[in-house]
Amino acid sequence: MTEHPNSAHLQDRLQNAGFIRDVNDIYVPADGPSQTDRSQTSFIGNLIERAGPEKSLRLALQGLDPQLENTVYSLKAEACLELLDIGPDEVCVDWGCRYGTLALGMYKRGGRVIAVDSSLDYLEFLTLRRRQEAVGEFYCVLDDLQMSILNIGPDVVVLNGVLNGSSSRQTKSRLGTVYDRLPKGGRVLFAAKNKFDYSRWVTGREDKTFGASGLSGGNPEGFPGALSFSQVESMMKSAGFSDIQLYMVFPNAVAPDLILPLEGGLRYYREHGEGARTVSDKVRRVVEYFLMKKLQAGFLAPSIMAVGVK
Amino acid sequence: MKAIVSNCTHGGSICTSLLFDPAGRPLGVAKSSTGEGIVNLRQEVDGWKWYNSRTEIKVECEVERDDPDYMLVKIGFIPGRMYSLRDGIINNAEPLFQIVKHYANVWSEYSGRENAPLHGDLALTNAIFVGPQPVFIDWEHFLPSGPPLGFDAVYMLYLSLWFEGWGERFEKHSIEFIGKMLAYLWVRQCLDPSLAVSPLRAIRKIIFDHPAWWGPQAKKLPPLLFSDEAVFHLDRHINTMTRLEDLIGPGK
Repeated sequence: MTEHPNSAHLQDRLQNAGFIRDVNDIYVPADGPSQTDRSQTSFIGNLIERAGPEKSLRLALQGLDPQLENTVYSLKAEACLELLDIGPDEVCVDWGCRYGTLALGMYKRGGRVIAVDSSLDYLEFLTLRRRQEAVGEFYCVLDDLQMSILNIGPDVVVLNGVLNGSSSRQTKSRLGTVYDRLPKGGRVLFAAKNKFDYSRWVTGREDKTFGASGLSGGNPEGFPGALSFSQVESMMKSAGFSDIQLYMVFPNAVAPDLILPLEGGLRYYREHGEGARTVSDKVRRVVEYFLMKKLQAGFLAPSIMAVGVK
Repeated sequence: MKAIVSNCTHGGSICTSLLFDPAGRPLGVAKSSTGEGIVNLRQEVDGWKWYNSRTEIKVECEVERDDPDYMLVKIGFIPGRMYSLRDGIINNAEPLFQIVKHYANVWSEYSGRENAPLHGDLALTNAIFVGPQPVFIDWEHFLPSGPPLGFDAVYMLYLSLWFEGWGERFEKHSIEFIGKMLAYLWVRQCLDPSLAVSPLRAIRKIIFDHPAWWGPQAKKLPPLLFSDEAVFHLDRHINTMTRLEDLIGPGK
């Protein structure tokens, strides 16, 4: 692994923010985390054991859970990073990084990455993934909902589905913390399920794809934290952001096919994804096309993304 | 403001977005962060260069970032009309003919040569019409020296036939239209003899023999989805119609 020339500087910032490097190469709060998730221990442990020091982590995951392997190594997820225009050497925080899909995407775009999660299991996985994918300035950090990692002063913060399950008050307060820690010109990407998502009424089922990422770990009972476009905008505004872009996301934020601006974006809407396999998928496609193309009902899009610039 | 309009479709690894300037004018942006995708983006750039040097409508194509793990290419926005494959061949006869004609104009210098450049995904949906004039887009499979001349045009015709009836029904008028287009290409000397007889079998063989030209997407290409029986009947119909077999002998 080659060290970035400025890595010492970022390491200093991590230490100044109160984090120390543990034996597993993970930065942890010097005073210990107030909340550490170890719910994935057996799965991740099994995965790391299967991968071994030489074998591919990806192959091991494919053997254990092919569907999850698809999600974790999905290039589709990275599309949302295009909304952020990440420049070389910008400090990027993926808050609630889980398997590191977006964190690695930010690294590939030239960012100096801090991947944060409350789960040591995921961070152990990502530490190994980072080594196997030979990336340089990329730090794995254990942090909790206090968001103290943001004291390092990042340029970009990604909150992709991480706050699903949080109350509106908590979400607003965390967005406020992000705003306070960003420098002028700093950006945040915030993604949430849309509470008016049309597909829930058509297929009668919840899209649980957000469960694959997020500090809250998804909510198996549905998404009480789902928000509307106006709620997202209002939360971002009350956090302090004045330059806010809202986007409609199809079919979900984990593997999006289309990410279109809420204002005027539907002129670029088109049928998307691979061919529908089930009757319910076919119905969903037809309904979506009708709602978006004919009725221009973008507020019913399945998921929401917002980019705020300080 | 950006709009992500295509993201890793058909197993590919390129994400395409539109970027709007303050006046609302869009610009195309294609990016990739995988080795395979970056190779495809370089092909896209090469394809545009090759194409721009042969057409009246020039489309700007500029590499904005070229890092080891990430490449970003800006492509000029083409304001124009696109047609849907869902409308079938006969309803799209005019734009399909314009595509074949444009292909013949652009590729004509390769007449009589063993190989011609490959577009690799020529389709009605990969042509934007500025007035009657098509502009071919999506050059990610471009090769400067690929299959025999005529391949892309024949591929485009059979792809349209596939999407018209999903390989299950074939309209007589549509097959006749394909026959006429093949005859046009032949007259324009833009159809290699190896593709003129039993054309569907011939383009399938080229795809089978060169899967690396398309990567993981090769096995999903529509001409390969026709049943052997359909290939036999369609080719027989076309051969009878064009009579090119009498001129140049049976296809290989």
